Amino acid sequence: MADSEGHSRLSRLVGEPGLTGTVSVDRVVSAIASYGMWALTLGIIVFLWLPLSQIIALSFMENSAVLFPFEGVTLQNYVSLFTNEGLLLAARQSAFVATVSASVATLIGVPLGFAIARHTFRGRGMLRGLVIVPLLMPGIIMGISLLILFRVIGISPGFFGTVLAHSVYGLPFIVLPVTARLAVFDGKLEEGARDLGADGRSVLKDVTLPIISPAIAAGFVFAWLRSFEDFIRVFFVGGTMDALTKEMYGMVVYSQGTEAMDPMATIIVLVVSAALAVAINFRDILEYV
Amino acid sequence: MSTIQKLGDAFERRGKRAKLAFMAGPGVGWLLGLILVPTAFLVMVSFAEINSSYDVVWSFSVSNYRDLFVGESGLFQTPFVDSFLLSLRIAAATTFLTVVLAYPVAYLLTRLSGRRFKVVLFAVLVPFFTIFIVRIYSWLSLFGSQGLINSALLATPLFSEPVGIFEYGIAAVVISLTHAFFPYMLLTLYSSLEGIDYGVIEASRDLGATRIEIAKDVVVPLSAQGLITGCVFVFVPALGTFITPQFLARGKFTMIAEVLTARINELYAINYGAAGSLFLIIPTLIAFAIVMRTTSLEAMG
Repeated sequence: MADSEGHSRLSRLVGEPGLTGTVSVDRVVSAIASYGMWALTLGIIVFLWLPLSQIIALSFMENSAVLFPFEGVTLQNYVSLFTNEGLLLAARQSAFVATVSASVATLIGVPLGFAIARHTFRGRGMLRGLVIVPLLMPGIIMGISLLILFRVIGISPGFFGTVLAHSVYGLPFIVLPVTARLAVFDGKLEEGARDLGADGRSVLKDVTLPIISPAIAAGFVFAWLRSFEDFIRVFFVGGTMDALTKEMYGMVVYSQGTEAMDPMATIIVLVVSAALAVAINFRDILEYV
Repeated sequence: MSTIQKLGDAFERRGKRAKLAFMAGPGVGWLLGLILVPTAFLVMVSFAEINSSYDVVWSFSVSNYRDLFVGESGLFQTPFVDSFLLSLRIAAATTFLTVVLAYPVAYLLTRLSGRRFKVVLFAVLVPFFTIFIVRIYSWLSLFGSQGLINSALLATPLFSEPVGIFEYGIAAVVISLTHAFFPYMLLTLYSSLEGIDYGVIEASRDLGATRIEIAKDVVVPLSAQGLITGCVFVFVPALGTFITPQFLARGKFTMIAEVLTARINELYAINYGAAGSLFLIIPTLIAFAIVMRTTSLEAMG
């Protein structure tokens, strides 16, 4: 509200007649806008959390499908999760695919980011554009087009195909933060290091990489998450390979019983919350999302 | 310049080029081989035919496109056209809702700092990082005639039968998509609003602009870039979503991704699927053009 006080002070100073009236109306509007914005924000937080908190609650209930009628509290759903070998295996498989894919994306993406940010060459503008395509392309297009390509060139659907698909899907999450970081950071730091006698390799190791490594780490996490949560690409190019999302999809659509879903979802929400709480307290994570 | 110098320069240039090729090569190869080439194949297969042993027979026919648009009861009377139009409407409604909901929250975030900022940010980001299928699944037991919302309504004396809008259907799909994609909009809007110099807003207020005028004439135009990017990042994935209608439409209607997937899965009609996919590539290309026009690559990091 300090700014509207500033306004009325200004109008008193100017002494413009009639302006005080508009100021008080503006102040009312201002107060309404401010409270309204808070109310809306809280409403949205409730909207965002309602389904998730309901899942968490259901995961501890005997009536695991719907909250009412309430039949009692139990850990049975967690037992059925941890005895569901298929689901656990699928979760491990998805984590493995995500780790390999995000690593491949990092190995390929970091040098590509350097090339785009630090070098001028023909086709650079086009390359910059091409990098964001995996981000914009609907998953079903990537899935169908890779299915066709793999069939024509003879890659059978499975782990290898999925890693190829997910590593290109994750590429923008590595390249974009790296180029963004390289564009803003002060080149004089590298120059200074060189002037002080550091050779190319130690400038890279001791100056450049420490500055961009948070961006790479954030990119890795995003690439990992995108691979882990993907359904449609792995559905088309994964063949008979297990994946957590495929398993979950089957549970819901073919009604194979969802008791294990709620505890699985709860564990994911808890892990994400903990990781995010740490990340938010450590740095300005908005730089990387 | 002496010959030796020239030679040295040439070597250096070649060294630079080799280094560049070494750095950019794998990435370029990945993008070409796994994005551009497959897309080109997709276009080619959309004009081809599939024989009885499920191999592609290269040819040039538009029969796949005819299958998309010409039904037994006439032109445009096909499941594909119905699903495509419905998907466009669902994606548009989702985009509209995320804009309306995210703008005030994004603005509020720019005005907050310290602990409050962190708490609000945490509250809106946790659902975002929870995997997509879980976010959609979490609405499953809220909707439906026996879902939480309808059970709660029926428990009150006001309703005697389940309310249609909270059954599985379009509303359920739009609401859960809004829930899933809200953070994309929020984050792009936030980053463009955050770039606005607050002094400009103060100055317009000092010059007598009302709140509404400031919002209309200053804040919205200055954040237009983020708004457009946000719309693209919500609209395109919403258009191509598969899991959401599978979970929450429960067979009442099918969206475009479901039509294509069903044809490919059940009939192995990848030529039909390829032709249909092109209608998802067109919006993607438009989206791409918009993003390239409005956003610098650095701003997307």
